[in-house]
Amino acid sequence: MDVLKGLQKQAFKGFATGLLSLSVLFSHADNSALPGFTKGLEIAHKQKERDKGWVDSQSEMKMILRSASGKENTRFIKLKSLEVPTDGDKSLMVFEQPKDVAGTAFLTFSHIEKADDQWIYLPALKRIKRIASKKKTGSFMGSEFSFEDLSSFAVEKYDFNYLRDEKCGEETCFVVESFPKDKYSGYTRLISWIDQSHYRVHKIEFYDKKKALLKVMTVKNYELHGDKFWRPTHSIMENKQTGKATEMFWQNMRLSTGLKPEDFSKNNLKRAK
Amino acid sequence: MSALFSRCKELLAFAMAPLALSPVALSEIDKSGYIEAEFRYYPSEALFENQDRFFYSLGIAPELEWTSEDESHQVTFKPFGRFSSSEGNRTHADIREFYYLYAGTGWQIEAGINKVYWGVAESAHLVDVINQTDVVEAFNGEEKLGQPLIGLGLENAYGNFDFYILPYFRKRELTTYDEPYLISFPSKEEATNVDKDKVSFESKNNESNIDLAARWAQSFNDLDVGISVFHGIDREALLIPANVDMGKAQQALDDGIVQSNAEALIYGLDTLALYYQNLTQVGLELQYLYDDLIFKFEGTSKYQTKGNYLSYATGIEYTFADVDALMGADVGILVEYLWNNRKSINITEESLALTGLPETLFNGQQLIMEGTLLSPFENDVFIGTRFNLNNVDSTQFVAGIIHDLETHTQMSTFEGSTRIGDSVRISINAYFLTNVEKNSAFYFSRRDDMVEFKTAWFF
Repeated sequence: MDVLKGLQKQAFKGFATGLLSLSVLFSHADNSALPGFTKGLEIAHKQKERDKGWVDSQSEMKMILRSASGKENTRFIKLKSLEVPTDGDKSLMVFEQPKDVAGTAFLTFSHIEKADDQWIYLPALKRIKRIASKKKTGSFMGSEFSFEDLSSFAVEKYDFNYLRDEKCGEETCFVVESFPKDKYSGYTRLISWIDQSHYRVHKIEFYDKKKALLKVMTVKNYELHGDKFWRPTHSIMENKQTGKATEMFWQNMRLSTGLKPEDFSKNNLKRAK
Repeated sequence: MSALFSRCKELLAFAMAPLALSPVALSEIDKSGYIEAEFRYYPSEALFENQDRFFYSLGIAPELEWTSEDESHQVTFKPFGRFSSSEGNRTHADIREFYYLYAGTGWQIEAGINKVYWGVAESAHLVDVINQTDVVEAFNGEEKLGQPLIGLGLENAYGNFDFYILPYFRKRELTTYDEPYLISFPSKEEATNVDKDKVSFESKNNESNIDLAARWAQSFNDLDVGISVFHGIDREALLIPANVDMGKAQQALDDGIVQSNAEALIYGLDTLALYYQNLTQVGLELQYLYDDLIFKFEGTSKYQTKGNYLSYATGIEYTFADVDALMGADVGILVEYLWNNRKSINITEESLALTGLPETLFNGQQLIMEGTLLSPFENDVFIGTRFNLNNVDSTQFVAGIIHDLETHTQMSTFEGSTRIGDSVRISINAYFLTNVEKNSAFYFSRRDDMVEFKTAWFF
């Protein structure tokens, strides 16, 4: 559940020029014949190729939850992720704040073909519990981000539909629709703004099961790591139906730090820091 | 509080002195923990006359933790204390954790006082045998006393292997004097005190016995398997007569209240003692994931001088995630079945040894403890639900009921909590017993329904 990777890889959720109506009418195979779909997929794979090789990452995240009336709550989370070239990534999150859940840890093995494996560690009992739920639409720690939003992205999980080019700040963005294939997804579609120079996500609109606009995420302040990997330091998720918002700030982002698969073992949750 | 903290710091500094000599980069000591105000109320009129119904207490649990920069060395110190308005032993302190841990690649060692959790079931913790239960602190059996141990953990393609040497046994403390959960024997009207200084062991080494434990755990896709063994002193104790008021026993016999010497001795029973048997235990844990359903099984086979027995708890947990009708709450449904085949136990010999009474007094009669009184969840069903509101304040609650299919005794539990602001958590817990007949193991706790309110400030 690498938050950053989740955001970064939203960049792939697009790049098809077919129309929404067509993608609904036609089967998967038929869609692939559309020029937009072919182009989108091509860009997605190119983008994926560009982000390969970060190996692992470590960072600290501050999350500010803001209610409709402006009341704020803060969370601190430590994040570690491991790139898994043939499957979804592995990630470990340890809560530091709120203090009553300090030391609680989430371990996620994302998968492309099947549902993610997830465990939670409860420090008061020293107990590791397996989480059984295919549905990842629930709120993450009371925030406007769902577990699904934070999950490791794979091209295989979506159908794409390129819409248009559009100015986004100083950049020009691809505007792309993507349609989750997972029936447990909380969304019917996403619209992503991805810049053409580095394929970085600038904005994503999330549409709910009733096809109404649910949330808008804006991503800011990209920094370059290792001359290759762009990582943001700030993102805002606004819920357009409730007026609530969540801001995320990343600090101390480090890539290729030498983490091993053992650091993401179930047993290791007990001493995760 | 600050005095306590600085003391903890000193202790931790002392513990880490050898480490400071090694070429390990020293990082900051993490200080955290909580202070908790608790109010307990027993709504039913007390069974025994010296019992109160209202109690206030203050709990303190600071936590100091130091981890080396490369995260391979770790020292944790977690003392705990409670100061209660109770005149009994609820005012108590313990070192929950105080250990040094070194983690290599695929292995780790630890030494000190720590807590180890084994098991998968929700309604019973059968396999979990390393730590003694802190019965005085919490009624639900989830609070544990710190266990001195040396542990080695290996992790490889064949699974996780954990080995423990447990060089010192922690005795189980029972609530005494003015708090409910006192003990009595059938045919006695008043509570029988447990003499905490009078403890006896089957093991000649007493609490210095070296216990051993090991566990292997492995995951096969959606199936998790755990097999454990334990050889040492049983964490559960038998309650046996320790002191008899002979005058009272004789009076009961003379007045015709009781018929036999054995009954008279129980009537004149003044104090009970805890008797710890030796135990060899084999445990099995199974957990299988199928979509949103988890199937769970945990069971033990216990080998003891006074008879072997099997126990298990098995059932399912199903999660309805992000339920729209409940504002996005997660709702878990829990159903478990509990069973054991524990037989009655003859405690005559041990009781005579403790009371020092001659065997002739019993006239061939035996003191027998029924298996269902010793291990009451012999044929019970547990149904529970877990609500996680997924809101900003992490509001959650668990409610459950254990129903004994034979005695029809029901034990209901509610545990709920929510955060206030960023660092305060309030909880309400309630435990209720219903349909408690004379044949129930909970007969002398039948009025011990309890509601507790806690406010904890985390720092």
